[in-house]
Amino acid sequence: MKKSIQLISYFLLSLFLFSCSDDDTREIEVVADQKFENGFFVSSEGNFGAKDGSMAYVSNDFSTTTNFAYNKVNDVQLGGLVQSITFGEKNAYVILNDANTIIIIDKVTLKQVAVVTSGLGNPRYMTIVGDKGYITNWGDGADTTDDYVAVLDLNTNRIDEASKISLANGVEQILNKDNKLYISHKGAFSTGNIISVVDLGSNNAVTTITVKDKPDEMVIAENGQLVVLSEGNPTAFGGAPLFEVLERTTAAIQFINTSTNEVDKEIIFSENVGAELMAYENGKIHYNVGTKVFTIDDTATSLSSEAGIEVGNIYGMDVNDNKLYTVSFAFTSFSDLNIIDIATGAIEFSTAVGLGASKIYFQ
Amino acid sequence: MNKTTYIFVGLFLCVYLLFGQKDTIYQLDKVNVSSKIKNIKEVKGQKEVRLTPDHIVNNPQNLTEILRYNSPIVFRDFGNSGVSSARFRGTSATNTSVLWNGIAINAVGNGQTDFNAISANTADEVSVLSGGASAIYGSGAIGGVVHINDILRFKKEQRFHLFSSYGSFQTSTNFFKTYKSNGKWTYKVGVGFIRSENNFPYIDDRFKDEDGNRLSNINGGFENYSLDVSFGYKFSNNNKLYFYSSAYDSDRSFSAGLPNPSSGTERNLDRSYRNLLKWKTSFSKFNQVLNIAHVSQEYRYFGNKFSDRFNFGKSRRFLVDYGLSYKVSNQFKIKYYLQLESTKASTDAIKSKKRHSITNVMGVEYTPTSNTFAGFTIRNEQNSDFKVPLSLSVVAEQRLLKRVTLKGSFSTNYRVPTLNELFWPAVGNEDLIPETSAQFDVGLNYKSKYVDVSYTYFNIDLKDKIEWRPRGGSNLWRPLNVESVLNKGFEFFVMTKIPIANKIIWNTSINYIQTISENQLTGSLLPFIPERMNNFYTELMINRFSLFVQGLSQSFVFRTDDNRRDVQGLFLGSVEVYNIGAKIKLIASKRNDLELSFSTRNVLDEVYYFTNLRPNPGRNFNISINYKF
Repeated sequence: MKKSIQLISYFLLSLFLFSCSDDDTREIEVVADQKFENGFFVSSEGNFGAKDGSMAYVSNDFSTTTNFAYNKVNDVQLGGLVQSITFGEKNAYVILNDANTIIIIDKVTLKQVAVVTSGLGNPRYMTIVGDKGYITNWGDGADTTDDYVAVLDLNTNRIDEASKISLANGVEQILNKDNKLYISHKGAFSTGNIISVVDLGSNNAVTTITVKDKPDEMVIAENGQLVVLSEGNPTAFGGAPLFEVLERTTAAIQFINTSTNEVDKEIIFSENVGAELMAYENGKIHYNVGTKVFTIDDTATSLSSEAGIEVGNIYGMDVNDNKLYTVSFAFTSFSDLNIIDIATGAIEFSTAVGLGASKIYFQ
Repeated sequence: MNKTTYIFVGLFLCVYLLFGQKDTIYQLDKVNVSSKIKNIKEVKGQKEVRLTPDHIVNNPQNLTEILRYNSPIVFRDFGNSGVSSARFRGTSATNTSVLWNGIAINAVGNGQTDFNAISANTADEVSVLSGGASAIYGSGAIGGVVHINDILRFKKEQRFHLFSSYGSFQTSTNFFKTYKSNGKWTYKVGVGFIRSENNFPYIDDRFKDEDGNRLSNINGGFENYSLDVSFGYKFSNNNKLYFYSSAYDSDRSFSAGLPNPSSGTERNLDRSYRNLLKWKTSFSKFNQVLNIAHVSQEYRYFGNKFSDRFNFGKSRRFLVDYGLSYKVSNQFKIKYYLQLESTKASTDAIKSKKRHSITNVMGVEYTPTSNTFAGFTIRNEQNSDFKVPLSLSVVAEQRLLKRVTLKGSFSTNYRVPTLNELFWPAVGNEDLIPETSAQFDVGLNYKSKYVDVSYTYFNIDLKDKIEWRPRGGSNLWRPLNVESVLNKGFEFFVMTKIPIANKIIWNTSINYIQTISENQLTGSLLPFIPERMNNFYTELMINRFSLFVQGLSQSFVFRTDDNRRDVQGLFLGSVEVYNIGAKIKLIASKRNDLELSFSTRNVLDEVYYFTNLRPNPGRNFNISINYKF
């Protein structure tokens, strides 16, 4: 009997010893008051609901990559799906889509400045005009009547609920020009085909421009035109394992005159072909089709007939200094950021960034 | 395995060798009320842990808690009001089969059981069988099986059991059960009700609101009701008829967790009805059982609870199964059963789908001496949707010493693709084939009057594992038969009941499981599978008083395939939680047993997570009354 008790005591003891033997380690790579000035950022969405979105910093000489930079500086996670980041004069605004939250951080130190937790519903993108931030919101993604642009006062860091601008369904990207907001209506859970123009100078009067299905990416070209990429609405998919889009409605790159709100020019993709990503620099438009990226001049009237650059499955891209920056499609492991020479198609630099990396931000 | 583990294992092998056992089933109760339900579909040669109402009353809030603190199953949940799924021996949520009175009840839609949307409080026994048993229980029995059973007896009696508890965050758990039998008739009625505001403060101090106050679990309340009614009629000792019925209704809000709990708007309603008619007869050397069952389940999910829009899923299953066993001699027994199943299911996105199956199972049991047992079972299922692999199992037990038994099993098991995986619009994959596993386990058991110990090594080789993966350059996740996974490890179980002095008893039970789940393609470890989990319950009873400590400890888990541990969020830290309490028996006579219990949960006020940024409650309190008469 005595022996049993002794053995059991040993057992209990060994369990507790064992329990303590694997301590968590957490490596913090940043130094105190580190400045993130001479580089660029990559935002990674993470997975919906998994709260694992992040931002990475890569120095301009590519010598250092700091993944989960915000976490390391603040010792907490951003805590949501990072839909997009907008950089202001002093602060950066990190939009957490699934958490209905904007984390406001100092854009040099990445230290948290404020957290906006009310007035947002499925926030997507933000643009800054003066001391106000304009944020597109789906509201309830399935509700086609509750989409809006929320107005953030950049001095108080609070949403001014009274200034909310209601818009048609499926608001997505937003940019501004001449005190006007341009909002692409990709369609949220359904399909949209308009660009809303909000005139901030005339009592937020809204006009709409009809484009092809699922307009998403927008840029202002050097000649002042609004360039819109519409993906086309996928209607049929192939089988396992790739499930590629077999059929879709017309996709196009359309050029809009911002004085008349008319489509000046459009470049239509061939039947059932479309692009999801577009980047613009120095009069050149870059777009992807499948695993290739093509380049055309903004004066072009047709799509590229070149072979294109093979980039694999990518989820985001941008262009800086004639170099193509792509992030690979990966949600269960880290995405790869590749920097590619557009002239040769050669990869000049590659590094792992966060889960589901989607956007690149140059200073 | 590291050095510590070897020492650990070594120590316990010594324990086995010192002592000796026969029964492989661990009846954990203090008062043995449950008589084992003799059934044709019964598993021998594998490890089973049985839990009784005495365990349920220690963790009455939900089945997740009952099992998390008393069984070798690891859970991943989204809080007490959120979805909870099992990770048994490192396998996925669809690889644990839950059976209600022998009828499989995993959801048709996703193949899982949500352990926070099922009631076990009014059940008489919850038993946990470790290891694959598809040959007997069919799809999903890869990691193991959880039985929830009602027990009807034909002994002349009348019993009542009343339990009520109230605790922090306005949490109240109540059930009432009554049993009556006149020897010919027997019936049981059980009613359960659980309700909680679940609005606990988040004790992770890294997150505060703008005024520096703690955030709290907004939109996390839940309530559920359950009703069980069962009858039995004994025509003769060899001819008995039973009817079991169960209804369950649950209303939960899903909290959003950190960093913005105020953004939570989700709500989920679950409802299920289960009916089973069982007729058991025996004549000469034959035993037969006929089961006719109807199981229906339904959920409604509101992404925004202030809106009228919701997603739903519902299913109806109808089963007829007939089992026959024939005792050829004292050494040989032959078993056969036939099962016909018809399933009809739909969701808001999937139009009504039907699935039919016919299953034949043959088994042989061989008991040459009272020290040796061997069994062989083979199962063939014909399914209207896809080809189901043949499933077989071989089990053996051999008593080595008076108290030491060696057990082993080999089995092939499977899990069929679910309705969602096959048919979800745009993402469903009709080319999926069932996941299959080949597993073996070897165990040693020691049993004496005071101590029960078991050690079981397991090895599960899983092929064609179905995983949802983003495909083809768009953020659409689709199910594919992608992975091949090898799970190995061991389970360790100890139960002691030691009389220290007159009227002083020390009871302890401990589960310890070590698992390595490795993706055979990439060599990486599977996310959300802790390498080590252990729980224990220890209680010192002094006359009418008792003091208890309950503990749960779990090592860190990775959250991603590339096993990164360099920043928080990519892994979840280890868990170490202790609950303590005291019980006083106010009445302790043969007919009346009234116990008052006070407990403090998470007594060390630890911050711990089972899901990223969804904290669990800090220190909280509970008082309960448990009355049997």
